[in-house]
Amino acid sequence: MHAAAWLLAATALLAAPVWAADTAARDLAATCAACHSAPAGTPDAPPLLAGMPAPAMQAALTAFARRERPATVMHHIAAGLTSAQIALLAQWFESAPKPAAARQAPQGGQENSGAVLRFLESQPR
Amino acid sequence: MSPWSRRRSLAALGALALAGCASPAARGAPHVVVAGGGFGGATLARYLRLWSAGRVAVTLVEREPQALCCPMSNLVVVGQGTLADLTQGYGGLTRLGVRVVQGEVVGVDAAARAVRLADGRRLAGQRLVLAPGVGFMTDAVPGLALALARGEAVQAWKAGPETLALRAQLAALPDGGVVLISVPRAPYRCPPGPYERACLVAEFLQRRKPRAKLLLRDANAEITSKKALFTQVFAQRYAGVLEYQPNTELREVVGRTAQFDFDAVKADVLNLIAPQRAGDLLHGAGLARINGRWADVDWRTLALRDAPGVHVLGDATLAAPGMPKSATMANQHAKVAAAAILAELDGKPINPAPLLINTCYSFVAADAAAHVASVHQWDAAEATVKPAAGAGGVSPAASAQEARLARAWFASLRADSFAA
Repeated sequence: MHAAAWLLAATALLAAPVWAADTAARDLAATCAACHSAPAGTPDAPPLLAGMPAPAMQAALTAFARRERPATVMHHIAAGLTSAQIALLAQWFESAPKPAAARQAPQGGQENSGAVLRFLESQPR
Repeated sequence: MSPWSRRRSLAALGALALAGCASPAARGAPHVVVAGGGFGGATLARYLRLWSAGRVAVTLVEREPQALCCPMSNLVVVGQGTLADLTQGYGGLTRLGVRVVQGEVVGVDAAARAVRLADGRRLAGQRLVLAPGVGFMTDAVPGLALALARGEAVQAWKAGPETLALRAQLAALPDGGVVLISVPRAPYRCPPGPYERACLVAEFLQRRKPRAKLLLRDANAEITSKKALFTQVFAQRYAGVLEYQPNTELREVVGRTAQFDFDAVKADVLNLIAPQRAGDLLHGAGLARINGRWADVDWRTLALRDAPGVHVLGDATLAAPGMPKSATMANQHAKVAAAAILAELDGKPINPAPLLINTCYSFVAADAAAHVASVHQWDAAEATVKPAAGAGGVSPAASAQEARLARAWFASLRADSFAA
């Protein structure tokens, strides 16, 4: 087959009407953003999720859902997610780029990494 | 894609990126018109731009130069904060290339997916999104519209001048005076809002007008949100200052007297919240088809069931079971709609099973808050979204910790919705 035809065929495959997994993960992750998007320096802000290691996030969400981990609100939310949704979210956030605002803000990275640690480490209330 | 069409799309992208608010009708970029710049409309505009990488042109029409956020507005009513704390500009959206147009929508042409503005301009797109919030049925109660017009009663159910009017009336209340808050029949915007306001006003009276009383009259059979929490707080914190009465619907207003079924209440401050329906632009266009009050949408797309290409977001929708009319929920509606609109413009299937998450905080005192949360999953059998079993809930008690979390939630929701 001619190279250009191959390219066309490949493009057609990519554009095939299959609801892509990455769009599913993107849409799920967007639901979290309502609460997990506070500007750097916001006191008591829930952590930014981009870049969290997937196994740790999956374990955290699963523990929240089972009420095995102290929480104010996350147990109410995690319990409504299927294990497949939790896995998809964990994979998405691990490779998601950090928002520009968080990267650029002075000391933002430091504060966010602190929040991430608080999220990932079990901690008494 | 042919080299020619590819070059053309790149040119369109470049034009958008450079000009930010380039005329969207030009150059063939898909165009979405959004009417209403609250949490729903703003979030939709933002996510369309982000997820299309600037490929879809978005025009956001809003009457006001800036948004005034309703969350936290009850704190302003009792002097904890100012309107500036609630004011949200559109600069973040403009920087993302959203064309923000200040203007009042006076007509909707659903078939053409177009709106007409008061100054005669007409805006049309491949998709039209209406996010008008709620409208107030002040004519449903005899005398209410007149009392509100004269300032004898105030609603303060949208943040703005009325928020300050109510604050001024409370400040001027004589010690020993009476405040009346009347709650309309559900559904209305922000289910826990009236009870949050009652708590904050009761706390204000305890501190500043210790001989004054607050009457909370509710048209509903019981507290409509966070019931156990508010019941406990009313009894423990505000016994003696706050008197709650369910099943008590406002029937008429004459001067400063509110008439209920079995008695009349003469109050110094009348905070009478009117029954609600979809915002006026939707109602006026005949698109509020459920009882003439709310929009009937498909929850996989937020599209009106009987007007293809027209989507409705937020408080104006007939809510799915267990779904509150809240800023967070409008933000979540917008994301489902943005994903569906982009999929349809791309000729791809929509997300077959959308998920929405709601979290709302209510203050029960200036330094104590509690949350309600819920997760809403698509139910294919019933073709609607339903609260996930075993999920969601209310804080066991209000706390200072959750008051801090509430402020962070507000900051996050604004950042996510308005690119603030």
